[in-house]
This record gives sequence, structure tokens and C-alpha cells, in this order.
Amino acid sequence: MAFGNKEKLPRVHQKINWKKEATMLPGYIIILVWLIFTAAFLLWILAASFSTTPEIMQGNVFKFETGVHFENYAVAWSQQNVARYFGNSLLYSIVGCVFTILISAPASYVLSRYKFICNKIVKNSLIIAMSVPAVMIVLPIYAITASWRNAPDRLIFTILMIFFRVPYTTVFLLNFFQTLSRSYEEAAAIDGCSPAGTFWRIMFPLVQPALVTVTIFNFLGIWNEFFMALIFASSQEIAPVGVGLLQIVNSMKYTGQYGALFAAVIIVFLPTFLLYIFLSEKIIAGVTGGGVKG
Amino acid sequence: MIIGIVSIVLPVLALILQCVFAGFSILCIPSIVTAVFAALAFWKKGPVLALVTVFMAFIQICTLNIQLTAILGLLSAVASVFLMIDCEKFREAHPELVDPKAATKQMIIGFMLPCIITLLVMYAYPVIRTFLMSFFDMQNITAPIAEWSFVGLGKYSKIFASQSFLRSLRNMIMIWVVGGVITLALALLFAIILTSGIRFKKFFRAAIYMPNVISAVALATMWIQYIFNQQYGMLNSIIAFFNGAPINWLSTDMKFWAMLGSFIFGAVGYYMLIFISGIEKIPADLYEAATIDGASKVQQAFKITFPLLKGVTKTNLTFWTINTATFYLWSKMFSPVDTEASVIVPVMYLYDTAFPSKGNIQADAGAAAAVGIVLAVIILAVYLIMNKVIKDDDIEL
Repeated sequence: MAFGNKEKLPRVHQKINWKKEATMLPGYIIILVWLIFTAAFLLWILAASFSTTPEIMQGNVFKFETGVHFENYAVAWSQQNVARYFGNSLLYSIVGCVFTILISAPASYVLSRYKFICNKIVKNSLIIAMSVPAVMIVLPIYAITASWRNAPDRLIFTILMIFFRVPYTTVFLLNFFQTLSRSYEEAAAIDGCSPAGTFWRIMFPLVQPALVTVTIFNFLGIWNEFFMALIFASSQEIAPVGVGLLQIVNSMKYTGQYGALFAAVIIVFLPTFLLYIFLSEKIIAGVTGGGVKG
Repeated sequence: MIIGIVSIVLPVLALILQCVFAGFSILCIPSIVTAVFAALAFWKKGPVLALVTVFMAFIQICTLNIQLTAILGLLSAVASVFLMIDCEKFREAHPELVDPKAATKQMIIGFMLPCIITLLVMYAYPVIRTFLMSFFDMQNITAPIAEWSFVGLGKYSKIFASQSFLRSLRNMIMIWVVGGVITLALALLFAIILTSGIRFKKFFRAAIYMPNVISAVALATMWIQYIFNQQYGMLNSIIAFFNGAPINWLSTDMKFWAMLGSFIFGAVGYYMLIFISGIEKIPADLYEAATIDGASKVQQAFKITFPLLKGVTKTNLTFWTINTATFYLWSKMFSPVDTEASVIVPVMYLYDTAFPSKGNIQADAGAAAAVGIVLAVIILAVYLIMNKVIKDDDIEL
């Protein structure tokens, strides 16, 4: 279950067995067609984001006849408000991730370590809560938050995102706390450390790999959140990137700046894509190893 | 010492001002709880109690509805943080005061409370309220319960009489059946190819899963603005290359299939990963024995892999059902301004019923809640049926 401590076996260089490879040729072809399609359209979008609208319309984005138009990015970033959407999303994601861990990790630790009356009930409720679709809860939450007249909408949306990620995060961390040895707590107790202090000083740092994995998922989840954002954060000032991009697409009919549109798409696409390039192993291990939805 | 008194006084002050200017209401409760916990933390010198105080103080910022009281709430949250540090320091200086049993109990309560509050506020209460709302008629979502009028199953008969809701259900079933078959078949195919000892497995796996991590709005925009574009789009360029007539992919007839196709492209990777994890758990000696006996790769897939993947298939079907029932983003992207019948799905119908964008349509929160309940019942029913039909008793996966 614990990642990262897999021993790397020394790699033996084998000669390519061409006969064996040949039997898998159909497999290679299928996968490659899929990948070439993916790569082709991503590259086209990237090229289009550096082209002018007439060039895009004529379909020659790879020629760059009028040069590389970096100003598309400037237009998208400032004129089309992408900077603001980007900042909003960053704020929601970072604050959301931190507070989700602060709520979930202690709860998860207590649930996996101590027996108390409603332990089982809370565990099961968390698992049920994880699969409750957003449509079941948005209407009453809208009613509740409407009465929080004073709270800034940004704060409300951040709190919702935190609450939304807590069940998943808590359940994800349960397994990891269970695998830790009890001798840590015993040793800490002998040294006079309080139980809560033991958690923050010893147990919390020990599950760090799991915290990183779950935080990646929380970050992706909040960054890509759309349905809740459309209801609770749809105004220009506080919209995250998803809703913001929808607004840019809708206003495209009037502005017609296709180059800037594709630049905006690339800006929205890049953070999670870069995150994925560096952390894909960890993400994929989290999806399959965690055994819970991502 | 002083910080303890400050963190008790601040929520009390906020509470008093709130009561004086806005009257006492349910919104005052978080402030009372904050003050009580601050007092308890101060008295018992419990850092965990102080942690709860911090949490409650944040909730009170949201509920207090006068500018001044909210600032007081914020200050009390800050004060509580200092109180927590103070308590911890006090504890460290006086270890003889610590009773291990009481400390453990305190920790359990303090650590569980935020999580339990989350469950109650974000899940238990809303689910129950949605369920109740579906049997009532109300002006708008925010109407207090006192203004609701009971209509029994009236809202359910209303939505099932609505053409657009029926259309949305039909679309949803199409996505579930057609999309499900294609997605799971492709996912299984990729999973088998990737686990058959292919080279660059890790890279291929990561590349196919990639659309799942990038913003779906960006992905949908790429499909709509590029691949399906009539003038310069990829599909029509390919058709033009073979001298075919260009197709308007986003016309009313084609839109649904365009949406489904692009959705499947993004979804396959996730189900593939689940299948791969299932296949990798099948003992390798089964395949070795089959190879020695002369079974081909295709035979091995049908005789060994598929029968042993029942459990994983069930997992995938469950996720697919939840995914389809809550399908919304792609519909919205394919009909961004006005909802179009060709791509409408239940969640979209719910959204339009609860938050109508046009002024002349009356919001109907009760009907919207009924849609939510119908979706939840569908998910639950599919889940229960699947548990009955597919038993994964064959292998310990």
C-alpha cells in the first residue's frame, strides 16, 4: 500500500525479441493511433494559440507565416480575465488542499487508531458521503449559504470545496494510518508527549507520501470543479478557470479572437498537465492503489 | 492568560452586537459554541479544545451577518489560534497536569468534531432536506420551511410529464448504454494490450489516462473549437483529404454523438487503469500454464482474463453509472447558452429548473429536488442490481 519504498530492481538489458514484438503489432498500432490522435490535436491547439484568427480560419496554423504571436497570451491573460480566473482557482485549490488535510488527517488518524462509540458509523457515513452526487446536496447548500449574507462568495466557495473533499481524503488516509506501527505512540507516551502532540509531531509526518498523493487529487478535483462553481462562483470576479473559460467561449461570438481563445485554453490546461508530467506515476498509483475514486 | 480571556470575550461581543442589531436567530449559534469552547479550552488548558474553537470561529465569520460582527469573528478566530499555542506551551511546562486518559478523550473529540460537522452540514442535512423538498411546493430554493406547502408526489408527476425531462432521461440512458459499451470495451482492450508485455507500457498508460487530469472544460473546448469545427476542424480536414463532403458535426442531429464521442475519449483512461489493476492481480502462472498448453493471446483473454475480471467490471460499472447520472459538464459545453434538447441530461434539467436563466420562467425548487432524488434512486438501484447479478466470489482480488 505504501508507495515510494518499492525497491528498484537493477535493469537487465535484454535483446529485443522481434518475434515476440511482431505478435503484439496490432496492439502497438491501436495504441499508437490513439496517441497520435491525442498528440495531433494538442499540438494543433498549441500552434493555434500562436496564430492569428485568419490563419486559424484557413487551417494553416503550423506555417506561422506572420510569425509567432505571443500577444495572444497577453490578450487572453489580461483582456479576457484569464489572470483573474487563474488566481481564483489557485486560491481555491491551495487553501482548499491545506484545510482539507487539516480536517481529514486528524479525523482519519483517530478513526483508524481508537475505538469509540460512533467509529463504525462515521466510517460508513464517510464512504456513503463520498458517493453522494453533488445534485443531491446543492439545493439545500444554496439555501444555507444564501443566509450567510456577510461571508464573501470566495470564502463560501472555498469552504464548500473543503467540505466536498473531506470524505474522500479521510477515507483515503485511513489505510495509511492503519499500517503504522503502534510502537511510535508507546514510545512517545513514555517520553511524556501528549496524544495530540504525538499525532502532529510523529504520525502526521510519517504518512507524508499519502498526504502528497491525496493532495494532488484534491488539487486536481478543486482546479477542475465545474458544477458547484457554476452555482456558487459564477460571477466574473470569483469564477475559477473552468467557469471562466466557458464565459470566454460564450463571448467569442462577439470578440472573434480565436487565437486568444486557444491561448486561454492552453493556460487553463497547462498547470494540471505539468503537474501530471512530473507526478503521473504517483497519480496512477493513487487511482489504482488507493482503491477509491479519484 | 490574556489571550484566553480575549478569545472568550470576542465571540461574546460579536454575539451581543449581532443580537442587538439583527436580532437573535439560528445564525448566532456558532458564536455561542465558539465562546463555550474558548472558555473550556481556557479552563482545561486543552490545545485540542482550542483547535475546535478555531474551527467554530471560522464558521461564525460566515454566519454573522453584520460587517462589524464578522470582523470580530475573524479576530476571535485569530485569538483562538494563539490560545491553542498558549495551551500547548502550558501543557509542556506542566507535564504533571496531564491525565493521559482525559487527554486521549479530548483528542478524539477535538479531532473528530470538524469531520462530523462536515458530514452533518454538507451531507446529512442537505440530503434529508432535498428529500423533503421533493414533496413540497415552494417559491424559491431559499424559502424557509414554514413557507413550504405539501404536494405529495405532485412534483414527481410534474417532472415525468415534462417533455424535456423525459428527453433528458432518454439521452442519459443512451449515454449509459452506448457510451458504456464503447468506453468499457476500449478500456478493456487497452488494458489487455498494455498488460501483454508491450514496451513503453508506463508511457502509454500515462498518455491514455492524461485527459482525466486536465480541465474537462479545456478539453471540451478543444474538441468543439477544433476537432468538430466545420471550416478548419480535424475531422472535416480528414474527410476533405478523402474528397468527402464536410459534415456539420455540431448540427442538431450530430451533436449528441459528437458530445458522446469526445466524452468517451476523456473517460477511457480511468476505466483502463481499473482494468489494468484487476488484470495485474491475476496470478501470472495461469497465463504461463495456458501458453504451455498452446492457448493464443486471444484465447487467454476469453478464458482467463474476462472471467476473472468480474469484480473489477462491477467497480467500473458502478463508477460509470455514477458518472452518467451526474453527467453535466459536457452537455453544458455543447449547449453553452440555451439548453438544447439534443444534449439535455437530467442534471441540466435540474439546473435549469432550480436556477432558470430566463426571467419569465418560474424556478421550481421542489421539482429540481425531485430530479435529484430520481437520479439518486437510479444510482442506488443499478448498484443493488449489479451486486445481485455480478458476484465476485470467484477470486480474491
